[in-house]
Parts: sequence; structure tokens; C-alpha cells
Amino acid sequence: MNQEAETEYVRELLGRVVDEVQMPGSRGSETVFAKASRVRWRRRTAATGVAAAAVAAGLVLGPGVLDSTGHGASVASTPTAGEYTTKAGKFAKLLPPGTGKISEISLLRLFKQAPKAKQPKFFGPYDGDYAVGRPDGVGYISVHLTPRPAADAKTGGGGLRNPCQDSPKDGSIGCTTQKLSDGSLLGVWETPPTDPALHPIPAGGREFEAGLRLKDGRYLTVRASTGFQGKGQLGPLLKTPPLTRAQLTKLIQNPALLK
Amino acid sequence: MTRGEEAALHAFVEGRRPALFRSAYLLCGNRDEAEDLVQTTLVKVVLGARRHGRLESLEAYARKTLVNTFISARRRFWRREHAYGEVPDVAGRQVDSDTGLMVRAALAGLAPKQRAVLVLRYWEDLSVAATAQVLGMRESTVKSHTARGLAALRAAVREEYA
Repeated sequence: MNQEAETEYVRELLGRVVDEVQMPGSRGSETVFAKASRVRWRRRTAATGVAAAAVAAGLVLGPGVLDSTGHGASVASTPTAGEYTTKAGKFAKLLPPGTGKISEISLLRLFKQAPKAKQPKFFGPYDGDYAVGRPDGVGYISVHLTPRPAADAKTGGGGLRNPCQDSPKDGSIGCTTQKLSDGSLLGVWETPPTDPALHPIPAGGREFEAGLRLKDGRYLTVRASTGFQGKGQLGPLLKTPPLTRAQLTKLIQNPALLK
Repeated sequence: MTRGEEAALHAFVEGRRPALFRSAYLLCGNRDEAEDLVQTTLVKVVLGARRHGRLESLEAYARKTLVNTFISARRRFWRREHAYGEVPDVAGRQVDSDTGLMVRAALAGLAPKQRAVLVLRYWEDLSVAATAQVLGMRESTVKSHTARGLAALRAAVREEYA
């Protein structure tokens, strides 16, 4: 058998293997892009910190991120007047007691190791990233309010939709939705730890995420993550996300996040 | 990335998935695993394209990502058991189906790199040099892998008709 004939013969044999398999139902290209967005987001934001982080935040972000004492606001201890005046201190008041030590950080800047990296525009009073320090590690909570035009741009202007379908939920677990009394749609889900084969460094830990699609078209998301592992890691992963699913569900419905 | 490039990337992901799946199935010999491999590959392609603007070489990038992801996964999980000989979902020509199963079993008996070489050389129709480049190995290694792979296939087919 000459080489050309052999090539053709082997190709035919391989073709018979392929012929026997049914093509899978298309997962759709959107799942690929959603997963890619999530991976990218994780890579960009995989940095967080508190106590030890507080020092790092002070170094990386410069003054003004933490209060004048260099400490974050702790919901576990009696807050001082200063803690109530900072954004982190006010945010800590919205959290259940014992959540941990709260400091405002910029995951973007920490991840990029660039203290002057341009921050995304904040639309909500508590929009931003907060490190949650506990004895067992460092996690974080992120709050982000998307105004209607931006939300419409992402969803094609389809109006109120199911957050479980719109969110980058590839790999997420147990997404549940409920319609609230004001007509908003709330979705809450869990994301397992990052697949190390896909993005070995930094690898995000387990997290709970909630998305609230408001009746006026805005979209509020809150993430409670156990942290990340990899370069820039400021502490070990928390054993559990800083907020339980129920606590996250309650927090995202707090109107203070929208005012 | 411009809007046009982004659109091209979407079109690539949508259009290339079936072809990648076929190659992945030849590599994995398992439908579910192949589907996961394609999904992982496409995510990596999207990330790579956005990071490096590799639109001109998306095809080659995807092919390389597919086989290397497969090989590295096999290296990591080489102890795992794999199921072979699953019943096809649709009835096919009996002889062809048998041949397919025999060839698939023969492929499964090869080392991952040998399998990758056969798929690239004979299914993707790459030259020895191009295959060597994709897999990061010498051309002589590609040739020896090819020879061993072909020998296994010949033996499988000979057994079937014996």
C-alpha cells in the first residue's frame, strides 16, 4: 500500500470511529463565553485581604482605603466611631455579627499589582470589594450594581429575566430563583472551587453568589467567596464562604445597597 | 478586541465545535469526556484569543490546545479507569460499527501521545513537521509514534476480518 492509499485508509478507519458517535446536543457558544468571562473575572479579581491583607492593602492601594488606624471594621468587635464613618465600616454594619474583619480593597488593583489601575465606576453606595478576615483565612465579598443601560446591553434589552439564566453560571450548583414582593427576581447559586486544570493560578475557592434583577432594570450582584489560591494570595481560603446562602439572600435584599 | 474580531471568535466557537468534537472523540474514545475536552478547549481558545489577539491562527491554536489539554489531562489522571465499548446510540451498519469499535479499542490501547499523533496526521491531515510542532516533539518521534500507532490499527483490523 503506497503512502497516499494508506493515509486514505487510516482516515477511513478513524472516520468509522467518529461515525458511531452521536454529536452531543450543543451546549451553545454562550456557555463557552460565559465560562471564559468567569475565568477572566476570577483571574482579574483573585486577590483579597484583610488583617495581613490590611497591611498589603495599605501598601498596594495607598492611604485612604483603610481608616486612619490602619485597621478594617470588624463586626465581631465593638465598632469605634471611626469604623462607622468609613465605607467598610458602614458596610460591616449591614453584615451579620461574626462575619469577620471587613476592609475595603480593590481586587482589580491587588490582582494587577497596580495601585493606580483604573477602577470600574461604582453606581451603588456600597459597590466594591471587601476583604473578610477570619482566624482561618481571608475571603471576600463583592458588591456591584449595574445600571439599566449596561444591564440591557448585556442581556440584549430583554427586560426582567431569570438571573439563573443570565449569569455566568457554568459549573454553578443549585441556582434557585424567587420573585420578590416588589416584582424583582432574585437568583442565588453556589460556585464550586475553580477547576485547577482550567486556571491553575490563581484558583478561586468556593463561593455563593446572588443576582437581583430589579424591576427598574438595574442588576445587583453580591458574591461571597472563600478567597483564592495563587500569586498574591493574602491568606488561606476560608473554610466556608463569609456569608451563608441565607445571609447572602438577606444582604442582597437590603435596600441600603441601592440607595 | 474589535467588534468584528469578537464576532469572528463567536463564529469560530460555534462553527468549529463539531469538528473539534470528532477529533476529541478519537482522542478520548468517550463521548462525555470528548465533550468536556472540547468545552475546555474552546474556553481556553476564547481566553487566549482575547488575551493575545490570535485570531489569525485560531484554527491552529484550537488544535494545539485540544491535543495538549488531552495529553496533560491523561498524564494527570492516568490511573483513572475508562469505559470502552459503549453501545452506539443509533443503529449503524453492522460491519462499520464493529470496525469502529475495534479501531477505537486499538486507539485506546495506544499511549496518549501516539493517539494524538495518529489523529493529527491522519484525521487532521497534518504533515509530520506540523504534527511535531503542535505536539512539541521531534519529527523522528512523530514518525516512530505513527509507525507504532499504524501497527496497532493494522493488527486490530486484521483480527476483525481473520
